[in-house]
Amino acid sequence: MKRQVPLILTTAMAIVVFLSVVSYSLTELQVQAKIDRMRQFMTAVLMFMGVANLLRVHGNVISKKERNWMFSGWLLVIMFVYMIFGMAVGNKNLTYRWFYDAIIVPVNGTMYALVAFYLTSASYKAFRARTAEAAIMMVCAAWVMVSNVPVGDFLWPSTSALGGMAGIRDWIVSVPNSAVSRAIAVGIFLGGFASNLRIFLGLERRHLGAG
Amino acid sequence: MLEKLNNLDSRWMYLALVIVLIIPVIKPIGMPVSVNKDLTQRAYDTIGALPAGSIVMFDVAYSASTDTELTPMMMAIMEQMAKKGLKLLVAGQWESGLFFVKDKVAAKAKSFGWKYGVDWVNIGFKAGGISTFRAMATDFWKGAMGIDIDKTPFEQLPIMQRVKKLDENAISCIVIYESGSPGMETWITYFPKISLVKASVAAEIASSVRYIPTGQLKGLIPGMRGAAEYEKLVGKPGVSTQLMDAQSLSCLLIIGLIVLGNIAFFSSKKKAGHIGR
Amino acid sequence: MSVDGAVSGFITAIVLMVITWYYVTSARRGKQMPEIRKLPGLDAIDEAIGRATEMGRPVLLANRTADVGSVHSFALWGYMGYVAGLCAKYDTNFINIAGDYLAAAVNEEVIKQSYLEAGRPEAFKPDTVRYIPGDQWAWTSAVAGMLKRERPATTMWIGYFYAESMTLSEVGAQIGAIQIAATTNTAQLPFFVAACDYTLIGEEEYAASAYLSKEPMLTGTLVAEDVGKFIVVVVVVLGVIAQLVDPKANLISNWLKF
Repeated sequence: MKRQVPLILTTAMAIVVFLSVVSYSLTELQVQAKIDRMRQFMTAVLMFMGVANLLRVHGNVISKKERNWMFSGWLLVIMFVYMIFGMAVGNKNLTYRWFYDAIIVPVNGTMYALVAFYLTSASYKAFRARTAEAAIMMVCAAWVMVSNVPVGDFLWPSTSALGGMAGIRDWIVSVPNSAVSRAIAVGIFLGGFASNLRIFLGLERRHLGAG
Repeated sequence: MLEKLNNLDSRWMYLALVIVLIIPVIKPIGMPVSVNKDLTQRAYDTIGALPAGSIVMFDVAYSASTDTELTPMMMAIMEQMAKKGLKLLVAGQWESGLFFVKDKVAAKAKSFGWKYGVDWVNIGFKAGGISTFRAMATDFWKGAMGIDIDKTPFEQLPIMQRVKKLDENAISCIVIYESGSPGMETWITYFPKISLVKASVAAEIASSVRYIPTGQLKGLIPGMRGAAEYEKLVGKPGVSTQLMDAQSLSCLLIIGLIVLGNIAFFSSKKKAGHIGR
Repeated sequence: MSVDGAVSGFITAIVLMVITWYYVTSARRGKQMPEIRKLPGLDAIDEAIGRATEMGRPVLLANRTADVGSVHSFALWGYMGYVAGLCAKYDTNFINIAGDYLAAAVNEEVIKQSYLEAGRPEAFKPDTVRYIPGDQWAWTSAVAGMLKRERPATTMWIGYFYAESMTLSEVGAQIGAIQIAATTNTAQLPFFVAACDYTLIGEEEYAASAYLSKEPMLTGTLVAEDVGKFIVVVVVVLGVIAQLVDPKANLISNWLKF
C-alpha cells in the first residue's frame, strides 16, 4: 500500500498532465495551470517545514554549543526577523525592499563575480595540451576568448580575410559547436523521456523506501 | 621553479585578476568595440524594423546575480525603442527579476517622457509558469488576472486595449533577458510566430546560437560584449562599454596564464624525460 | 491556439512509448538486454569512495535545484542509493546536501533504505542529510564553506546546475577532492569538464539507475532510448535529403511542423 498508492497517483497525474498538454479542451480548462497552482501551494507549505527543519538543526547546534554555534544563532535571528517583518508589512514596503536591494542583490552579484576568479584558476589547471583533443580544446577556447574582446579585432580585424578572428570564432560557434549542442539536446530529450517513462511505468522505486 | 609554476597558488592568479580588472576602471583605455553582424546586429535590425507604435514585450527571466550583464542590454534596447516610437509591455517568467528591474525600467521610461499605461506597462509576474502564458494566448486579460504589477485593472490602461491575445498581432517582438530556465523555450515552443530576440548571459551563448540559422531566434545579444555592442549601435555608451576594457585585459591574463601553464607542463615533462634517460 | 509540432510531437511520443514498452516487456520475459557501454564517471564511483575511505574523509553528494517532481531527483536517487550503500558497507562518512526540503526528506529515506540493505542501519547519522535553502548563491556559499571546512575526499555534483557549477567544482578541486559531475545543462558542462575529474554529459546523467543497478527492465528503457536516437538520425538524414531535393516541398519538415 505504501508503495502502490504513490505509483498509482504518479501514473494518474502523468496521464492527466499529458492529456492537458495535447488536448485542446483540457488546455482551455487550464488543467495544467490548476495543477501548477496546487504545487505552488504545497511548496509554500513546505517552506514552513523547511523553517522548522532549520530551527531544529540549528537549535540543536546552539543548545549543545557546538563549533561555530554563534553563526547558527545569527542565521535563526535573521530568518525570523526578516520573515516576521515581511509578513507584517508586506513585500511592497520600502524598508523590506531595501533589505533585499541593499543586501541580497549586491551579495548575489558578488558571488556571481567570483565565478570569474574561479574560472581563471580552473583555466590555468585545465587547459594543458596533454593530448591532441585537449590541445584543440585549448586553442578553440583561447581563440573564442580573444576574439570576443576588442583586442581580437585589433590583432586580426573583422574586415580582413576570412572575417578576421571574429569570422573564425563565428564559424567555431555556429558550425561544430551548434552541431554538437543539437546532438546533446536530442540525447537529453530522449534520456529525459526515457527517465520519465520509467517513473510513469513505476520502474523507478528508489524513492519509495523499504518494501 | 617548474614545480612552483605547475602548482601555482590560485591566490596569485586572483591578485593578478583584481589588478587587471581595476586598472581600466580607474584609467579607461577606450578600446573600440566592433559589432557582431550575425548576432547583435540582427537583434538591433529586428527591433529597428518594427513600425512605430508596435508593442515590444520584455520577458525578464533573470535574477540579481546577472543584473550587471543583462540590465544594460535592457536600457540600451529601451533607448532604441524610444527613438523608434515603440511601446513596451514588461512581463516575466521569473518573479525575482521583475522585483528589482521594476524601478529601473520605470526610471528609464520616465526619462523618455513615457506615460504609464499609454506608452508602457508592467504586468508583473503571473504564477503558473508556461500554462499561464498559454492561457494568455487565447485570453491575455484572463491569463494575466486582469491586473498589472501594482494591481491596476487593465481597463484603466489604454495600451492593454491592444493586447487581448498574446499573439503576433498584438505583440510584434519579444525580447527575453535570460540567465537560466524557464526561458526562451516557452516562446519557441508555444509562440513561434512572434519574433524573438534573446539577450543572453555569456555562458548561454553556445547553446543559444543554434536557434539563429533556424530562424527561431531573430537575434542574440551575447553577454556583456553584446551589451557594449548594442550601446554602440544606439549611440549611448554606458557601463558595459566602460567595462569592456576590463574584460579585454582579463581575457589576455587568462590566455597568458594558459600559456604559462603549458610552458611549465611541457618543460617538466621534458625534464622528467631527461631524468628517465 | 495551435502549437507547431503538436500532432507530430504526440505521434513521436506514442512511438517512443511503444518502443519502450516493447523493450521493458522483453526484459520482463527474460530476454537478454545489450550491455551498456562503459561510462568512466560511473565506474569511478567505487574508486572514489574507496579513496575517501582510506583517507578517512567524507563523501559529498549535492544537488540544489531538484525537487521531488523533477526527473533529476529520480536520477539523483539512483546515484544516492548506490553511493550510500557503498559508504555504509565501508563505514565512510556520507553527506548529502539538498536545496529543497521535500527532496531532503526523500533523500533521507533513500539513504536509510540503502544503509538498511547494507546491513548497517545504525550507521545513519542525523547530519547525513543537510537541508540548505535553495537560493542560488546562498546555497553555493554554504556548500563552498562546508567543502573548505569538512574537506570531503569525493564530491558528486548530480543534477541541473546553473552558474554555481564553476564555484563548486573549483572549490572542490582546490581541496583535492575527486569530483564526479553529471548535468544536462549544456551551458555549465564546460565548467564541470574544466574542474572535475569525470563529467557525465546529457543523457548519461539519467543512465545511472540502470547502469549501477544492472536491472534488465531499466536497461530496456535505455535500449529504447537508443532506438529512438537511431530513428531521429534517420529522420534527420531523410530531412536533409528532402531539403536538398526540393526545399519548398520538404515533406519531413512539413510533417514535423504539423
